[in-house]
Amino acid sequence: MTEEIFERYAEEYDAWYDVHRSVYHTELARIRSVLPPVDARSVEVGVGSGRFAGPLGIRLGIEPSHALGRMAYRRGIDVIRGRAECLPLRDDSCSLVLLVTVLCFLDDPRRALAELRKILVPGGTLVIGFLERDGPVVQTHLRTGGKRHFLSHARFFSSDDVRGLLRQAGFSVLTADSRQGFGVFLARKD
Amino acid sequence: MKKSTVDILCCPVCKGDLELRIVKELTRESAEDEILEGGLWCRKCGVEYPIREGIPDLLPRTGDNC
Repeated sequence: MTEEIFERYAEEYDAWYDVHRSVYHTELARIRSVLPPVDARSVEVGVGSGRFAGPLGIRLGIEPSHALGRMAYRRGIDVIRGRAECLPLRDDSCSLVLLVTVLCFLDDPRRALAELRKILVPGGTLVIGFLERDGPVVQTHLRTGGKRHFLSHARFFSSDDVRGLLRQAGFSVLTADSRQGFGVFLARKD
Repeated sequence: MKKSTVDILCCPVCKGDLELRIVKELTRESAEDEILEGGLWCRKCGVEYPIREGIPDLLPRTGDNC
C-alpha cells in the first residue's frame, strides 16, 4: 500500500525537498554531523529519490519504489530495487547504513532492523533519522490532515520507541539527537 | 548497476548466491563498468531477478517470510 503511494506521488515527494529547502537542509546537516566517514560499503536503505545519499556521498541505495529509484539513479546512486524487510545484501557486507524517514513506512520495523543488523559488519554503524511521534511535524500533520499523502500511511514512533526497537534488534545507541520533531540516532551493531 | 556491486548482492528470499547474466553493459575508461540490462539468477529459488535500465529488481517474488 505504502509502496503504491510512493509510485503515484513520486514527483510530489521529490518536490517537497525543494519547497521545504530549509527543513531539508537542516535535517541533512544534522545527519552529516553524526555520520561516520562514508566508504564504498555504505548504503542508504529506503534511498527514495536520492536526496540524502547524493549530498552525503553514499553511492549505494536500496529502494522499493521504481519511480523514486529511477530518480536516485539519475542522481548518480547505484540503486537496487528491494525491501528493507528482505534485503538482497549479503551478511556483513556493509560498514554503514543510513535510514532516513523510513522506519514509519515499514510493514515490519522489527524485521527490517534485524535485516540491517545482519548486513552490517561487526561494529558497523546505523544512522537513523525519523519523524518523532510527539514532535511538531507529526502533531501538525495529525491535527490538520496535511497535504503530504505519504504521511497518512505512516506509523510514527517516539524516541523511546526507536531506542527500544534498536536495543531489541541488537544495537547500542551511541548518540541520540532529538530536536524539532526529528530524531537522529547513531547506533552500533553489538 | 556497478559491476562490483554484484559481489555483495544475494537472493532476498533464501540469501543464496546470484549468477549474473549480462545483456547490455556500459564500459567507460573513466568509471567502473555499468550493467544496464540482464538478470540475476537464484538457482535455489528458480527465480531470475531482472536488471533493467541499470537497476536490478530484487523485490522478493517467492516465500511467505518476505
